[in-house]
Amino acid sequence: MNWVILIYGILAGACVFLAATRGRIWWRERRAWAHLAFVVCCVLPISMYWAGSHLPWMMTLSLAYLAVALGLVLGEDLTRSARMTKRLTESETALRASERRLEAAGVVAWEWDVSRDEVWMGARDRAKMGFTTDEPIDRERLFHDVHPDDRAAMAAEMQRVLDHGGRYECEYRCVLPGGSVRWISDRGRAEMDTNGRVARVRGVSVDVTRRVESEESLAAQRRQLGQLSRTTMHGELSGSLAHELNQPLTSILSNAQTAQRLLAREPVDAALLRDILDDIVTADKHASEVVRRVRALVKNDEQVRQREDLNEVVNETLRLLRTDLQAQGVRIETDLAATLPGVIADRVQLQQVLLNLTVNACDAMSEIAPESRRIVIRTEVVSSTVLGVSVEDSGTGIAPEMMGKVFDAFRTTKTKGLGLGLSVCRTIIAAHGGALWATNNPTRGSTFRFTLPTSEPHP
Amino acid sequence: MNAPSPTVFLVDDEELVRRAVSRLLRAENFAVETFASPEEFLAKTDTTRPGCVVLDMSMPRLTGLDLQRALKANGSHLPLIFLTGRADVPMTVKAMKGGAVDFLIKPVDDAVLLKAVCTALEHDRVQREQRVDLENFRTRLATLTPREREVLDHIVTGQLNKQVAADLGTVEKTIKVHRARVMEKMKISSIAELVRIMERLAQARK
Repeated sequence: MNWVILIYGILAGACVFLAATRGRIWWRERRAWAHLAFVVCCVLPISMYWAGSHLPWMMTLSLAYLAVALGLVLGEDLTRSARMTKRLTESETALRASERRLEAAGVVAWEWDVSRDEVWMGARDRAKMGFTTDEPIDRERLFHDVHPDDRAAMAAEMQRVLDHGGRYECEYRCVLPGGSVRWISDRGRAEMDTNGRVARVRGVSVDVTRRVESEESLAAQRRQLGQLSRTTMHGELSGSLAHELNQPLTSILSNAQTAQRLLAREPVDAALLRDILDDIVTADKHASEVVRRVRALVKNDEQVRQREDLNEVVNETLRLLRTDLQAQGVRIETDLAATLPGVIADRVQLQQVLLNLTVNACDAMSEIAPESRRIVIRTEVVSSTVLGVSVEDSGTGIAPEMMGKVFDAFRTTKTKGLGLGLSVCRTIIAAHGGALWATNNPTRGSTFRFTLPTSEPHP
Repeated sequence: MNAPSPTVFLVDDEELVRRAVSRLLRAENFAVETFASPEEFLAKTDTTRPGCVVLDMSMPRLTGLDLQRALKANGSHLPLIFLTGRADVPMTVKAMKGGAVDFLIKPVDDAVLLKAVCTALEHDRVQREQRVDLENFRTRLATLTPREREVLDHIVTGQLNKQVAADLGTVEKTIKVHRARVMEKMKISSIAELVRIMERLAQARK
């Protein structure tokens, strides 16, 4: 009987030992416990009962059973351990591959712990972004490298994400090790904690300098094209310029010659001479104003956008073109909306567009009889947020095969001019948030229409 | 009959130009009236008054050429001087064909403008006199009896009294009497004069 108790004692000890070391896993698995419970609850009393006569082989059975059960459990442990190691290795390989991919793409991954205000970044990425391997990266440290003009926007975006969660997106200039300034684009997403507040933001940063630079070069090209177009329009305006200047010049000449006559007489009418000189000064100022206005139209100035009234722009453009149009025998009609909300736009550019469209309309009618030449310019409220302007002519219309190409650069049916006008007009209108297109009229001629968003939406 | 003094009517949409040109004309003792648009001029003026019109070619709405047409339609005989900042050949031709006295380019030299105005006013004066004369002739013509009128029509073709008598189936003596009465009523002293008058009347009718 003694050595039975001894063996059970050893086995019990072994079970306790194993439970202590692997208890958690076993608990999850529950199988080991089932084995032990079976042994304890069933085999033990039976073997005790049979202890008298059949003790030796009952004991052997239960011992064998226990041994097998324990063997299985231990075996499972070992295989699980091997499996875990294998998964860990695979996982580490995948992580390394992922890191290499990010590096190949030039992407830096980070994680911002909000409560600690600390950004985690891999060692390699830290070096890339100009951080040392150990220094803690808080918001202040981040801003240190960011271009001062971009800091406000970045801080605002961070605050927005802190308040509302969701996606984090920001583009800014950054000083990198070596002193170079690059455009960085950050993209990330906020993760909430159990209280519904933002706990961390995870994301990546990409160097987008090349993209930004190419955008800027495109904008510069467009400006250049605009300048080229302005200089070609210069020729188109010279007739009106001459006429506009002739009025003040006439006033000055006639006044001065009248003064000469008056001075030859006795007595000299000083009051009248004073009136004459006042008028000469006024006329001179008018002339300067005309020159200034036309010069503004051909100068390559930076855009100045402010609130403009489309009706005023139309009227001013027509004043500039009036003589040229009359010389061609063209009748101009306007149909301007009575109340028109304003648009935020560059007045000079809008005038350019209208000038171009009107001159085009005029040219479109050069082949038809003078009596039938008619241009109608309309302004209207298209919707509560959109205004429309249209220039309609009574010419020969646009040939069907030309319809799609009418706005192409360097396409012209005229003998002079570079054919730049319409393509630049389209660019200008698009830059203002509108659209420019052409249609043929049901009766005769064609209509060029453009829309612009209004700065004063109304229901 | 006392003709009212001639007036220069100045039509230009630019105020500075109106002031300067009217000053110049008034300094030379012309009577000037200014208007900012052809519509204003037509509405406020009796276009049978003596004088001339100095007008800008390119004005909004009604242009100078439109005014020229309107005046003709009204039966006005006011001479026109066009003043314009821009001169292209078609415009000039149209204006002159429409009967303008002159076509001047802005800015205009004072001597040139004054000469044109003088010419135009003289033109107007002469035309008026001629029109008055013609009117008188017409009145006098109307006083002729039908028979006398017949005789007149024959005389002006250069026929001798004998031939006229033969054509009209009457005696030479009768013709002589009619002829004397015609000359008296028409207040003329020679056939040549009568012929000229009848030609002028015929011209005016065209």
